[in-house]
Amino acid sequence: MVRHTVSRPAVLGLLAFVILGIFAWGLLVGGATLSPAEVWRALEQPLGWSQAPATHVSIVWQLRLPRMLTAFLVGAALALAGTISQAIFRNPLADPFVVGTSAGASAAVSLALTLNIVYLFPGVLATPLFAFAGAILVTLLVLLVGRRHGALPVNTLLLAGIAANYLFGSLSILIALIGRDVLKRSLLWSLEGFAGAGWGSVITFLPYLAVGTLILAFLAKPLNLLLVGEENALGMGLSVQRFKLLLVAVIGLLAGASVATAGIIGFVGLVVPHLARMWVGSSHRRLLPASFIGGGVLLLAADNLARSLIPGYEIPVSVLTALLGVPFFLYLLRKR
Amino acid sequence: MRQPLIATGATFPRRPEIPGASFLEVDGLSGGYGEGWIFQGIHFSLPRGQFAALVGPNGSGKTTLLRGILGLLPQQSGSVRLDGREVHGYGRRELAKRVSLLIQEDGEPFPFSVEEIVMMGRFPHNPFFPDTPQDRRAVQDALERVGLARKAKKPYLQLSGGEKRRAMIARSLAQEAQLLLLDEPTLHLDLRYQLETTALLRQLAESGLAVLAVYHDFRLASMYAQRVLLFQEGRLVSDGPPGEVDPQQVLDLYGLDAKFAPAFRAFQNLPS
Repeated sequence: MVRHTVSRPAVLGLLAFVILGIFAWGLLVGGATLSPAEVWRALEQPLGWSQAPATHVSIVWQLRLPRMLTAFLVGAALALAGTISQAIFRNPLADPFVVGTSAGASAAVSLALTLNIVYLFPGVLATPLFAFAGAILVTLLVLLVGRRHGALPVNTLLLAGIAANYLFGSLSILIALIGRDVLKRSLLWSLEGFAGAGWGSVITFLPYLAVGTLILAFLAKPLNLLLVGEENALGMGLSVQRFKLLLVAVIGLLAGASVATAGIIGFVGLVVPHLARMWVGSSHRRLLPASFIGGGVLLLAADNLARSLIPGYEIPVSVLTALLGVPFFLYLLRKR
Repeated sequence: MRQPLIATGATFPRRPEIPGASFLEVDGLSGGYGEGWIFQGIHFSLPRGQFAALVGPNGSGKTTLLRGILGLLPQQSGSVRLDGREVHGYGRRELAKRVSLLIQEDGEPFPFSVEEIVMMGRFPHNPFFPDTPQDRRAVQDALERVGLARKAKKPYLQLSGGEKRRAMIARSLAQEAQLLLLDEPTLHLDLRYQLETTALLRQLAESGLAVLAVYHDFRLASMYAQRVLLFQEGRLVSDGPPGEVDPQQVLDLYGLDAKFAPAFRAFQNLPS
């Protein structure tokens, strides 16, 4: 339903409070036990107001903060990619994981690891670019194979997605087996989520998110047009095919870089746009920012949970998002 | 009733800047989806201020003709001029500022407000940046013209069938199109909304728009259209005011027995 509650300061205030709370929570949990006071002193250490042990400063500044930031940014990217996947397939069940985009990106990352290609150009990491290409390839494939009259019916979408997930999942394993010595690295990368994330991850990931977000900032209106049907969109002056190609490229940027950074994380791109739509309506002018923030907060919270649920042990964050996302997915499927 | 300034179908070369020249000129248009022609040799023109109904049985190629007018078919030949210029010469957005196509597409699962739906019509004028006051004024005007101003904030999906159709027409008005092409604007509507929607089209034509709407119901179209184009198996078989249509042709069109002729005469006698 269309609700116009965004402008209500109370709601926004509450939201800001919750987000701050989730960030604070993230700073407090982890392998090492630090008291809130210790975290606070470590946090303000660079300002020179107080003295904190070097290990505390390092835990807060080199481990927890960059990890949280990476989780937030990847969550934002996945939610944006999910939102535009739903527009391009005109199907509210689409997201990079369901469609197979992430599997394609993951296979391409395996390829890069197996071929031991670290840098494509000096200073430019290869894995996100490989992931970008893999993501685009699969999204285009599903789009071409599954489309009927411009939309992708739910059944076709799910079947095409299953096929793509199997195919590229198997390819990933095959590629990893061929390059035996990187098998372990490849498996680890796909499971560790944000465990290895540092400032380097933030710096590698940020350009992809920034470019994707910047492009999307100008595309709210044509995205809305896509939702009311391709022929009508054409009649209102949108060059539909060209626009869809642009969207596939943006999905590739966002989902590809996410997979290269944190492995396959499903359902964020599915759940968040739905919750955001319930809150701000379907218009992308509000939906895109709401998805960005919602995706970031959700994945950050999931990652906080992943590293604090079982003391001394980390659950892969993708396992958590699946546990959260699958019931939601089934609910949406039933509701139709 | 408002008369067009210049009669249609004139043979002298026409310059685009002549006011009142036919806004739409279709000349020898044939089209299809790549497996033979669906319609062939279509020839007609439509001035501003006229509501013409394109009438024919289901499956006669009417909707395909609307697509052909916009140059959307994979296979087509002949000429379509809009405002004196070939349709192919316009960019997509330039074209959208002049002509609006309303096609019934699959259900719309995404919730938008009425206002948001109508605002989409502003796309060719302002595709990438936030809505301007001018956009909002155009949407407001459009909603008032179709009588939906009070429902602007309502969810589109909660409107009645007739209101949905009016919202779509408002979107075309917000687009500032001077030619409206509508595919079965009364499809799935009950009698009340069929009449209201069709009367609205007449009213819009009288305010200066050119309106071409596909109908399969000759009687409904005859009540409000100033002109009826009979379309049979991909060809135009008759073109004129509803009162002058040969009843025999209408019977042929629907494959009806002569005993049904009075059913059509009754409608043709209505003042148009």
